[in-house]
Amino acid sequence: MTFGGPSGRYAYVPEHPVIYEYLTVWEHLRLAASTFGMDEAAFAAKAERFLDKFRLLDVRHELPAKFSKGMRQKLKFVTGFILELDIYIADEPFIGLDPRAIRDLLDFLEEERRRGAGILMATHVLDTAEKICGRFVLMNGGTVAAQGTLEEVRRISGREGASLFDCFLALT
Amino acid sequence: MASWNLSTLIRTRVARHWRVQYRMWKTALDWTVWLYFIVPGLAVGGGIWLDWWREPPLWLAGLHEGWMAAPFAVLAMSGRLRVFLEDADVLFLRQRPAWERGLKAFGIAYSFGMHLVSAALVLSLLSVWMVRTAGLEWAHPSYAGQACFVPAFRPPVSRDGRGDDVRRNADQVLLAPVGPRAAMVRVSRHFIRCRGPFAPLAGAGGGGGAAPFAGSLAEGAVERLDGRAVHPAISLDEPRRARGRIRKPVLACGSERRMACGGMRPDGGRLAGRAAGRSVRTGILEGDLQTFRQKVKKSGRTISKFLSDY
Repeated sequence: MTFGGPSGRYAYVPEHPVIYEYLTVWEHLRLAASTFGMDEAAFAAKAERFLDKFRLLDVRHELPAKFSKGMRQKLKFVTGFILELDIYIADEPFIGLDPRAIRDLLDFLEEERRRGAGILMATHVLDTAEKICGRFVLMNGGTVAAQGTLEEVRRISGREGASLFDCFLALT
Repeated sequence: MASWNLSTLIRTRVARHWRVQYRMWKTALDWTVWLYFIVPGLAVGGGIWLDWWREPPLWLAGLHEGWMAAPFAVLAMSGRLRVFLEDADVLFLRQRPAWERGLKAFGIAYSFGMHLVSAALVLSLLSVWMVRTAGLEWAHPSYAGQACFVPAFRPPVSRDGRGDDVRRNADQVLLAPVGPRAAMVRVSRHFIRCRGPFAPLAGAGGGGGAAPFAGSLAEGAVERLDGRAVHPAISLDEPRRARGRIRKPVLACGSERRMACGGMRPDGGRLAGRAAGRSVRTGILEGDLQTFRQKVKKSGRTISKFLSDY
């Protein structure tokens, strides 16, 4: 698979919090930055900004072994955000996050989208998806039930003006 | 820590691997194990080895040389490939293929190096037999050959079972042991057929009956090494025939428990049960257990009463 964008680089944020248990938050970010050859000065400034925004600055030198799932999830997103990647692939990104972290995450995803990054998200939280996503692929039992913009999905489901949730129920 | 590179990544992972190993062994080997088992064992074992080196025991000379390959075969097959890839590499490290390749290449070299160290230890232990008894010289080709048995690498498995990526990455290097392993099978076949422990059976004794048996035994061993043979116990398709028909109930020790089934627990407990068992075993009671139960039921008495009146 080949990704587009200037660098063709992507961030994968799996549902299960897979991280290096023996690296601190800061070491995680530094490893990610080194992997993509990021400049040291730019890294430090960006890392502090995003850690502060996601309220991880105080724990930046701690091991993530004792972190909650939400904190681990945030760490993975921060790793992606500081690298300014072209594609974000997120599997159930909102699971385990507190409401404030969800709001922060939505803001940053919108920011990244405006920058030109592509965001591919797999989620069961249809209400949130309806608010932030431009196109949808509704799947049921391993097959595609409908795809397109919200208007197209409404047309396919025969529910004009309905929510994505209602469209999904009508289609399946 | 300064910025990461392949070298620091390898150093970190090797150090972590040894830290984990150390912690693991530390839990198993506390000071009492060291004091009472390991240190005395090393002292006694080392002393015996030195004694044998000075004056090899006679029974060593009686061992067939073909068995020398056995410890190395076990060593080769118990080897494992450690590629130092981790589950979390899927997050971003996979996008730096050079580092991933570097980790795998180092892992192969590391695994091979560790195997050589293990082989050297086994060679040192066996040198009493190989050098002092069998008369092989240190430069004998079998030393190099046996030391270089590449371990039959097994794919690494992550602790939480989510190691698919790591396993997929390791697939290409899994081909590595194919050649050496085939060579090992050929060597083992040679030993077993011609000079191995089965050869005396086939040749000696002179009887025509012994040779075919020994030959098939050796073939079986070779085929198992090849992975072609299926163990006879596994390949049996037909169900086993019953050897006889039991007309009388069989009561073994503790038959009182059987009696207790169906709400007929004897009042006398264990003693009554034993009496019932003894009676049936000695043939006093005719018919099967069902008949016995019916008789007791008809009599309106308890089992113990029934047996005592009998």
